[in-house]
Amino acid sequence: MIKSIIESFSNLFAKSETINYPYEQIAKFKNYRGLIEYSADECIFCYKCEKVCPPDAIVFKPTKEKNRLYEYNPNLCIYCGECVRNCPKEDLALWQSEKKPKII
Amino acid sequence: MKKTITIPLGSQHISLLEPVRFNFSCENEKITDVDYNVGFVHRGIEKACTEKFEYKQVGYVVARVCGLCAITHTMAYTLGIEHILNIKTNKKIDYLRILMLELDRIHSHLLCLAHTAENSGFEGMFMKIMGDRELVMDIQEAISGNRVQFDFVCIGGVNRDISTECEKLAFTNLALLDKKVDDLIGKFTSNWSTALKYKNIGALSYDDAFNFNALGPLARAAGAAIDVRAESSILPYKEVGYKMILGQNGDIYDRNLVRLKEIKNSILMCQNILSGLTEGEILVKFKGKPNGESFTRLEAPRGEIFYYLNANGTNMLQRVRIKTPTFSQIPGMVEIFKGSDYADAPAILASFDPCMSCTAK
Repeated sequence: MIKSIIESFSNLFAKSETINYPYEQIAKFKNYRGLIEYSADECIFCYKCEKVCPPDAIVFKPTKEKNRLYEYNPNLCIYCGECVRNCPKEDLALWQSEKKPKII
Repeated sequence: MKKTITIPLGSQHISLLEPVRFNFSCENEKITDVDYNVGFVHRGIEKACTEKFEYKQVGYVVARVCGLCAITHTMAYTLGIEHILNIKTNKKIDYLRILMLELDRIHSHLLCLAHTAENSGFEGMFMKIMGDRELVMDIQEAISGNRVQFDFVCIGGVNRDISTECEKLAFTNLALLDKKVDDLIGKFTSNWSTALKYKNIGALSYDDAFNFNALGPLARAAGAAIDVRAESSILPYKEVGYKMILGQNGDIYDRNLVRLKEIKNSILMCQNILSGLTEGEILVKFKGKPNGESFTRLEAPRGEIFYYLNANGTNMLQRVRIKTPTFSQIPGMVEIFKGSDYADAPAILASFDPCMSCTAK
């Protein structure tokens, strides 16, 4: 009983457990899994990322030119990073950033 | 004239976390018979695993069966497919996998305890335990890069290694949590609202635990030594300091205590793993397509999880069968409800820690 009274009074002066968002930013951990980013100049068009993607977030659309067009849907993506791990030119053609998708 | 009155609980109810429907036949205050329906959130995951996704992608699909034990589902699938493909993993991979499994167990048990406190009308305690749970969630987020869907395990190993910063964070947070759990054990043994009023309520006897196929903390609280971690050697649990924790009476009070003591044991295991982690590869390369079948058992936070896989040498699996712990516990649940007061039903239900999304999948 006495212990719980002391605890409740000490809680009155204790630091808040919650963060005052958006005035205070939430600390992000390093290597947070965010958006998948792509560079068409480095891509060798092996289409491995398209094959391994579980929710079909990466699709190469056929065009009139030789190479297909890379299309990425961040709203379908589950951010597992399987595409990046399977990419033969990891970190150059395809890499995982710490950015968030835009809210439309 | 009919003597009983039928009172429904669910599928939408203030005390329920997930959709499940119970129809209680009550005689005055006592429940005499129970009818149940658990299939409200069927998503056809087993079918999708065999028709839409290739075997390398299925690990990410089955993680979505349950948000709380996501890592356990992926792990059970991965161990099964590794058995078919004859992949042998090294010690480091095994230890990292156990680490994530145990962190998962800690935060799942804490969530269950929080809801038990909430159902007993102790809202402040609910907030406090959920606040303590953030310590574990932070470690998981730092290791895997995501808060809920970890996607940490893959066929042949794990996706990420632990950095020294993560290790430091894990040590400090686990030490903090250890103290808080000690405090919680005091509250769950001496407090009236969370502990003493739950003595002898919702009790499952030792014999009934075997007769009704009880699993996980539900069985262990009744004194039945049922734990896959002790029975199977698929992951090296004995090396990291696993200890079986048993209760005596099998009531809500004992179930809470078994969960709290298991958290203590899991914290110890995580600390042992982190201090003895060796250098090594985190991914074993493999070739070929799966051909054959496998049965996998693994201890999820709520009990034994079972995976049956059948592959025929192509990219698509022939059959994926998932049996979740809550599914096996339903006969035990129904038995406990019979004879108890209707007013106790939400508290008894919360103490089972049922996961309906898992069961209906």
